[in-house]
Amino acid sequence: MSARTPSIDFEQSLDSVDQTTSTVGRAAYAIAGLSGVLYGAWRRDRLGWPLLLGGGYFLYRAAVQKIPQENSIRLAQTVNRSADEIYSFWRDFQNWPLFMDGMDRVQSADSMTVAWTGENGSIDGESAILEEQPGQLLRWISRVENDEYEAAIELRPAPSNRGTEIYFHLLDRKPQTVVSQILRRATGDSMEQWGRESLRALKQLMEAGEVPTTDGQPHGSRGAKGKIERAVFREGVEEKKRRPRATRIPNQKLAAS
Amino acid sequence: MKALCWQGKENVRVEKVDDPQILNPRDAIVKITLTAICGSDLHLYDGYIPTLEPGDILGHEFMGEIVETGQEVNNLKVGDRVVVPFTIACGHCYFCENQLWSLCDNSNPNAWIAEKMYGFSPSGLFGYSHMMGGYAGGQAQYARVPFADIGPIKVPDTLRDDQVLFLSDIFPTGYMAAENCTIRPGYVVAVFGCGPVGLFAIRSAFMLGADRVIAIDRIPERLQKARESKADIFNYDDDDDVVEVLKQMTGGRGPDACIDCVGMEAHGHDFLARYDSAKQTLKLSFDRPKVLRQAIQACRKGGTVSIPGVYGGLLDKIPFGAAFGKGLTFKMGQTHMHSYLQPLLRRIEQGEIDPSFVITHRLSLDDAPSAYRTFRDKRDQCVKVVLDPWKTNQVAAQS
Repeated sequence: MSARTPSIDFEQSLDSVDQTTSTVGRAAYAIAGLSGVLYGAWRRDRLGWPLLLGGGYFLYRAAVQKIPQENSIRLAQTVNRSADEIYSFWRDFQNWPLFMDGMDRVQSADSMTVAWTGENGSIDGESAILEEQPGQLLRWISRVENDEYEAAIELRPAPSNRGTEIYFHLLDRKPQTVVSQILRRATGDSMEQWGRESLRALKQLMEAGEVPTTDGQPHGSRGAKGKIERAVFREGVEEKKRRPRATRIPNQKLAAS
Repeated sequence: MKALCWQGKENVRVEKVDDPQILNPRDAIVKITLTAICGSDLHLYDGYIPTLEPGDILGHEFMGEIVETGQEVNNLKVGDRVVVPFTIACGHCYFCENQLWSLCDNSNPNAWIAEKMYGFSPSGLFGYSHMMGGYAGGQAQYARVPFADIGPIKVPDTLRDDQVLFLSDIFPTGYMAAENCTIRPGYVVAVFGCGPVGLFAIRSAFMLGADRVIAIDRIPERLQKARESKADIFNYDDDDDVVEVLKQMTGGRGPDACIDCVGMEAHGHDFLARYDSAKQTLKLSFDRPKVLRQAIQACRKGGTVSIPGVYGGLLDKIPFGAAFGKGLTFKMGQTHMHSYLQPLLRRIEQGEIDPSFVITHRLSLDDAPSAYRTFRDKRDQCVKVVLDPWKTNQVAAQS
């Protein structure tokens, strides 16, 4: 391990969670359920029907069992700015609504905690810094309604002046069923996509000074097909929010070019 | 304002839409004085580019006058006459700093769609599907230009609109295609497809020192323009064995470089061409890569295949064994526009080329729906259409 490895190891906290029991339990339910259903369906007699029903119940349990599993997500992005610039931008809570997807405005903040609203005022959240190492690591925890997630960014210099590599770790503690996991993934409403979009917006702000948009541009009549496609492509969401999408970051690189 | 909107396959119409507004600090609004239909717009018209939405404003070749600027745009002022490059670039990411402008990291608002399809997202483009950003295009009376402090180039009043308009795409695209051939003395370059990009590729190849250019097409007026551009021409309707004919025309060596200026909607007579058409009709594929196969097969050993023609998805039956066996170099992609604007404007100013030579049709925006069809079907000797968005419909005016 290098000397720059953070003292409180975020990786370790990810690995410390024992997911074996729940996974084995769920697998057992699934195997028992499937065997019951198949054998019952094959027999289709007085013993077969209860086996089929029982197997079906076990399958149902395997599908809906809420597992308090921790969903660990790792993302990475290289930003053409120095680690110190990125760190100080990220450390300032007032900047969070600029790049954190779905966050509207900061309600109140002190040096270590922040309360905010998001999703057009429909959700409240709060976050607290857990660990900070300027220019290297920032770790925080967020509570949104009943959910809780832990996050950390780790900054490393990219080779030959290509800026800074940001490693973004997310630890989602929201209990999920198989069904809700599939649904969230299909609709793009996943923690992973949230992290990806937030990281992208940060990069855009820090490099280009603004987040590119087409919300509010003219168009011809969309018709039903066009409206459905816009929803699928997740466009037009920001039109109503009018979230700030640009900032003046003191930027030597921008000024010089 | 008036704008040309896509409403489905082979269905475009001029609609009354809202005027564009400044949405970001680095935006500018351009009042368009001249715009054009590009060959790649025909891929949209024919419905072969995914993620287009009904109501989208098309067009990515346009120029005009600045009428409004965002607070961060300091190098342009109201009244400036500009040509707008079709690729949108932020100017500050790794790719922009390395002149790979069409690969800009920060200009595509829908980067996630492209990431799912391509692994990474290229830059945003005007009027070219939502995967490429969903930006409203320039076949309209006004357009919003993002990152206007980086993209648009001011043009001198001594040059007419139709002389500088094609700096927006096809001239730099043809030029980069030729540049990608790394032409050396004695080089023979084969240009597949003599549409506007092909014609600029021919002239650019000569500018860059090619000894000979062989132009391949089947449309008489396009071959004629190629001949006027000093290329040797070959009509593949006369002999479909393009590879053998090119060998004959080059002393058995094959061309040193092949440029595919056709892309995803190639025509052909053989079995594979029919197979491509069937797959495209059944929506099993976006692309008919007939020309790409020929270019790979015809290119000399160790030569370069340069691809400015647009491809969209997964290509079938590509002779990669031939490409490997012959040690070919491939160069492709959307044009890194911002690198070519100044140098090519200088060539126009110095009289080395007058890009207006490709124009065959000068119409109004109202004529655009019929012009798309004429251009697509290559009727009426149509090679290039330019549209004046402020002129009234000529047909209506005559009647």
